[in-house]
Amino acid sequence: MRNIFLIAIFTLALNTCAVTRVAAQASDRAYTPIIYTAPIPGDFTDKPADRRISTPEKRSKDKNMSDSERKAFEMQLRYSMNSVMKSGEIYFNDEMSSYINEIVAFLLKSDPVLRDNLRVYATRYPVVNARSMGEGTLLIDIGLIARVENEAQLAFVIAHEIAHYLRDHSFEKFKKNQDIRNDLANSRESESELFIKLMRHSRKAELQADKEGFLMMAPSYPPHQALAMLALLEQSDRNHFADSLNYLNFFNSTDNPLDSMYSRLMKKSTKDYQAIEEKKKGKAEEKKDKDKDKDKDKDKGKDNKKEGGQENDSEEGEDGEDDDELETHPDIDKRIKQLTKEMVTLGDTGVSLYAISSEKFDKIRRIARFEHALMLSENGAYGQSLYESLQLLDEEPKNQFAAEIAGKSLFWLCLFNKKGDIGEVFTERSAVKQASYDQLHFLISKLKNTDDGKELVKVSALFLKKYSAQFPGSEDLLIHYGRITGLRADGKEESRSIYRSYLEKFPKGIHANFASKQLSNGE
Amino acid sequence: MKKVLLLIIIGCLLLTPRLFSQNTGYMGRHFILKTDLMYPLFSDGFSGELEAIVLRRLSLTARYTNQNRIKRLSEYGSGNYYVGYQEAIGDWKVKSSDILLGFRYYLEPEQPAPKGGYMFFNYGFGKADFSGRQATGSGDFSSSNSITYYYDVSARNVPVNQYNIGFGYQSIFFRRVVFDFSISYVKSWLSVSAKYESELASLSDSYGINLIKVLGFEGGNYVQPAYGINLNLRVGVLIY
Amino acid sequence: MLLEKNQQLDNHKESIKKIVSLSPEFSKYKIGREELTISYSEKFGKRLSHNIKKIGKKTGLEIVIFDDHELSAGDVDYFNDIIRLKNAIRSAISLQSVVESKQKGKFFKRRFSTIAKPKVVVWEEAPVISSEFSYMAEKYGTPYFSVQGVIALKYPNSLAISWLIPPLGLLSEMQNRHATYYYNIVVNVETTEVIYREFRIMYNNARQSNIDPIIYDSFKMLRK
Repeated sequence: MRNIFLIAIFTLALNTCAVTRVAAQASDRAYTPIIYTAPIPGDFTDKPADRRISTPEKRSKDKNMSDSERKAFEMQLRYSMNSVMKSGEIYFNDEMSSYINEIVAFLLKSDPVLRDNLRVYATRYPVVNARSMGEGTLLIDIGLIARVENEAQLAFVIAHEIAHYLRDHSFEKFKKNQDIRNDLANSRESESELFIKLMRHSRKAELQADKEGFLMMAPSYPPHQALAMLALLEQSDRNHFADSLNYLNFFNSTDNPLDSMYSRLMKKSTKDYQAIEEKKKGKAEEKKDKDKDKDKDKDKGKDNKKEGGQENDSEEGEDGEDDDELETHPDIDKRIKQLTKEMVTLGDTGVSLYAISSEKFDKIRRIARFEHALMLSENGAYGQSLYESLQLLDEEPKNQFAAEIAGKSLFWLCLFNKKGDIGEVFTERSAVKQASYDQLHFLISKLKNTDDGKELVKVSALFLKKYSAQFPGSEDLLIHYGRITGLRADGKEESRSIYRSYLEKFPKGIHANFASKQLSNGE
Repeated sequence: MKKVLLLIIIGCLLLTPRLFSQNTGYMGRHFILKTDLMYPLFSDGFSGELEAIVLRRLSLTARYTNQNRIKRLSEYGSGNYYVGYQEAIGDWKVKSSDILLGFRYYLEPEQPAPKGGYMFFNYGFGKADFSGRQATGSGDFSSSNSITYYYDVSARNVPVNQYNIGFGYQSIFFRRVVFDFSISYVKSWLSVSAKYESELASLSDSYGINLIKVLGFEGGNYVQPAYGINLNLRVGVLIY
Repeated sequence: MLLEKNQQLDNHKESIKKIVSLSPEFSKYKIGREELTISYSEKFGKRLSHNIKKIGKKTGLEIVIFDDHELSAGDVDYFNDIIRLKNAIRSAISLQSVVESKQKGKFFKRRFSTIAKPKVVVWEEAPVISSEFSYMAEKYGTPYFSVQGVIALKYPNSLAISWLIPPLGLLSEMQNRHATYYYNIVVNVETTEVIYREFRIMYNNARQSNIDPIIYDSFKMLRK
């Protein structure tokens, strides 16, 4: 009897563990957006006059710099940093910034003084970029963190920015700008010539930072990851997601007897889209052939020029071409070429892709991807945020946050469509050059143009209804279901009942005041 | 005159509650007391003005001026003058007081009255006392046989009228201190009885003008209106 | 001058007694022949915040200002609430268009600034923000939040020839070398609507004696 009792207890314990593990797995896939916590670092609270300026050694040893120049530059730095750091666009006390700082500490383990001079933060900008501010602050954008494939690539970017700081490129650019202004005032050269000069200076600085960043990163990480990172930058208008997504999985619901009509619409739209894409492909092939012929003629002309004995600008590249003369950054090919030369001397160093931790990297990148989708929706890029959140939802079907972003994005697209402003927030081939994005754009365009936009509202409402039932604890999904229902001419009563059920479920919710106001206004 | 002034002040105060709901004035203040610096500087006198902001871009003005001027006339040169003609010698004393009522329309919609550029119109009425010395004689003045008689002329309570139309700019400093600069076209005229017409003819075409006479009629023995350009520089204080 | 209100505010059904001002900004620029330079000073912003509060009190409005001049290590609400809402309002204003109300019998009111009243455009459909900020009504004691600021420009005087005619030259000296822009956007976080939007251009320099009456007038117009 006693043994049976013990076995029963043991089995119960096992099952409890199993349930707990399953529950943990389900909640593991949830995501809570980053909120700011105290204590706020001094960089975010200091007044401009008190702001810490870490002057790079190069600037402090420069005897050619006058006091007035130094003061003018530092004043500009103080005030611009003041507005950047207090803009609400820079994370602090968060895991992303901590992880990036760990990489910095690892890269600069032999130079603790330099390490102490630098402050590194992740930013909320949903772009693939990073910047060195000139006074010791480095900012890495979530767009970039979300895009990188491994820690080594991130380390290269950080090293590149550190090189900008060490070479004091910010001050050089400031000086160059002033020289150009003086030249313009004295009309020594034309405006366009001076602009080209400025861009050339910028590209030189980028190549220098590439080289020095590479040499800083190469001993600690596989060097070829620097080349991989540059190749990734060339494709920064794409993202890491798979380029195929079955939108019918999201916009189908068995609750509504009209569903079959929607799925027919979707299927037909998908077929139409594919037909259009095939046509476009054909035209693109034609254009490619024409361009090839053009390039051949161009090369012939250039060869003739070379034979004529004109000078080449060897600082820009081997063949002296300046295809990027109006760009701040050199062509990726030039950058890759430069680093390839350096790699030849290094060879394979045999170091790991992850000096800190691959699990940590995966976690941080996941955070960045979710924050990226959130930031796109907060910045009004609802088309992109819908696209990314659906991709995230496809990867993690139990993720409430991804469903919330998608639901919110759909609501805003419907609202903007009603106002006639949808072109402001959902553009074709804007920042995401991927076929699956184009397909989404095509589908939404079809829906918004059907029955004066009512189809888009219906489909979006079905989505929100489905996911608010799937995630009953989500305030956002329920309230936006109510709001989107209210956009229908015949949906006022239904939306009011949704607001009532919201208030019953979440009497102290963040949308509670809004829901109460909607109910009291209607009475 | 005093009764008119009092009526104006009471009227403005009565209008306040009804009209100020639609205009904010300058930080809630709708009345300005000003004095014109041109009067003490160029004529031994005084000018006091009350401006009341009645609408968002409209204000009413009431000005009282008082001046004592010496009007110097050039002596006529020798020439053949016949008996019967009179000429003035030396200075005329002009003592006058006027009341000018008008309105201002402020031009900038962004900032309500009383700040900024404005256009204005004033109409004035008052009384002036003229006193001076005239000469008359018989025979040809150029001849040594002529006899010259001198006599004093005094024309009192001569009704004077004027209107001004122009534009200006009003600035406010230190929240209370007002500087008001304006330039205007003026027409003024005297309502003189026939008895004094010839004496006052040479004064009438410049009465009320402090900058430039636009149209003048030299000679003649009848009273004519004065046309000219006036410049005014006022300093004041914002009150209630 | 552009002054816009939503229907509720225009009908005086919405009465405002307290507003939270989200970090008022004062920016100063100098436009030269070939460049634009920014003038840096903290005092302009601090003075603006101080004066907005004082003027609000004068007009019967309680203005609570949250700005970044005196942030402490515990002021996380500034980043979590204030700046987020400010960015959301700016995004709504820049991306969303408005639908004007077709008022009968108010032809002149809608189109012209008259001698008695400024031109007021009334919205039928206002820009909206997310409802996730509606909790802030309870937290801060009012559903009204505003984004306001001043942009001061100094530029070369193009009417130098007017100095040949001194009075005009004096006038142009007073009028044409500065432009000051004032904007004020008020949102009701409970209804999620932008209820008031105002934009003014004055051709004066950005002295306090020039800006203060504009702010005073703005607050008065808001409550009329």
